[in-house]
Amino acid sequence: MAFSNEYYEHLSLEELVQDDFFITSVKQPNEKTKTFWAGFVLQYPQRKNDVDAAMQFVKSLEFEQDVAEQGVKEKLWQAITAQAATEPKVVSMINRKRWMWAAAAIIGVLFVSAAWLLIQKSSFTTFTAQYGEVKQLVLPDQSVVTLNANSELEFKKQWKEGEVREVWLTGEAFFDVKHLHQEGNLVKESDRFLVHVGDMTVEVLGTSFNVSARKAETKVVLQTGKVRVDFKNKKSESMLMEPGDLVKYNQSTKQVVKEKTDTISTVAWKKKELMLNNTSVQDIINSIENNFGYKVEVADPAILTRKLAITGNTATISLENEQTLFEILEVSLNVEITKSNDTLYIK
Amino acid sequence: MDSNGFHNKDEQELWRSFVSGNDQSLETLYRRYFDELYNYGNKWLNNPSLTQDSIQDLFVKLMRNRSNLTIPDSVKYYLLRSFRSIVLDKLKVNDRMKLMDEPKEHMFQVELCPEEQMIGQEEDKRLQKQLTEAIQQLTPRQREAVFLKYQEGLSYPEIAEMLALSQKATYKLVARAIQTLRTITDSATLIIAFFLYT
Repeated sequence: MAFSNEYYEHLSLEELVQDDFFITSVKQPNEKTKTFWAGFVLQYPQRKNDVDAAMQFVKSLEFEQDVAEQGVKEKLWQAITAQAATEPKVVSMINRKRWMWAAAAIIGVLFVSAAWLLIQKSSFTTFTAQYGEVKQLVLPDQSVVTLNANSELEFKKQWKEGEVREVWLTGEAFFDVKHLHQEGNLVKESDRFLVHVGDMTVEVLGTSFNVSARKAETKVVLQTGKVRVDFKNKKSESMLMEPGDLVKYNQSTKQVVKEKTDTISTVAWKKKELMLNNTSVQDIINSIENNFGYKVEVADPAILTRKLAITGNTATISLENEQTLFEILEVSLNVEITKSNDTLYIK
Repeated sequence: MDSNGFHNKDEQELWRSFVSGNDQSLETLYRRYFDELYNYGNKWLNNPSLTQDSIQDLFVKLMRNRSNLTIPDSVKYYLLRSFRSIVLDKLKVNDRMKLMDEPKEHMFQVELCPEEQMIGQEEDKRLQKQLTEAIQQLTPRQREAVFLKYQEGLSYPEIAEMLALSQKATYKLVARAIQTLRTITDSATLIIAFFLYT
């Protein structure tokens, strides 16, 4: 890592600017580098001007980022896996048409201005699960997130040591957060893990839990460990949760409800299953809307309050295949389900 | 910054798992490096669709050749280096099609970020502006070396290997670039860059 103070005493400004440890100190300062350089200029006050100048110089060498259009990252990965699965073939470049270059040039110009706006965003990674997909990802700190269908998780690309870990969620996800602290005591900023979702922030104290923000309701279900929920709305007080707790926040009424729940059925979606445990048809429909992206219309609203369970036991329906799910519903509810574009009609 | 940072072990683990058949590990790396690769590739190609093609080629190639892959010391460096050769191939094909109607100096074009959150803004803006002009006066090779050093944080040995230079020559290349930049920006007034200590 760092050389001694004596080593840096004799470096010229130019040499300083090129020194690996110095560059790191400017681009990714941490407690160690700050202490080192503060100590250095105390010991060699005559070098302070050079250090300052070198620092300013390196700091200014910050290049503009070229950023891909939104969604490209997702689509390209799908294209990659699809292409890798097929036999290699030779694609002739001659087939490309010249006008494409013109289009590319115009896009290029737009990018220069768009890049500016996106600089902030470019340091973030977005992870999306489409309708009908459940995805698992490992965060830079090794925490594991299972992302339910129609959900998106954003986080900073680079997680620096010593910084609070933060993610932003829309939709639903299950978090298995890696402990960084030993005894359950938070001592450092880096021990903290925050999930920002809807109007609340869930602060994790080393734990696994489920968070969802669908429509107007944000729900947190805690499986193990301990979390604290803070609300943007200052009137609602922060809440500490125990395993098995469900905290519901209604974004329109701003009401907070805390109750006990069955954590297993809450996270059944992780296995692409829908668990029926005296579940109302309304809940099943919500799940279909969230997981497959249909709009569901019901001819007879009376069925919405009916509950499904199979002779006292809980039953699971696979969400893997929507057709099977619809057939099961048709039989058990004695209805007919028809599809038209993105709408599902239940009669 | 340093390509041998704390990600390294974890990335070698991901790589190992990918080589032994787990596509999800490669996907994690893809997601981690997409923006960086895109940015670097587009600096060469200045063409979003060609840049995307290059990223696609890189990862398809990795997946198809996985059984022949070894575990690199730095996954990031390995990706950047493999990607660079794909990008340069694309550039050649592209140039043949464009009948070389663009001068070579326009390759590897970089711009500096508009710096918005600095203290003592006037001086800083001036330095930034001078640097932006100065960077255009570097040779494309110098520009790329400076980019790899200050943006990607590669080590001198890594840059040397990538640009097929000796380490000494690489250090000199960066040194000359820095000298050029310093001479041009020398008149900029210095301010106290307090963020290093506080």
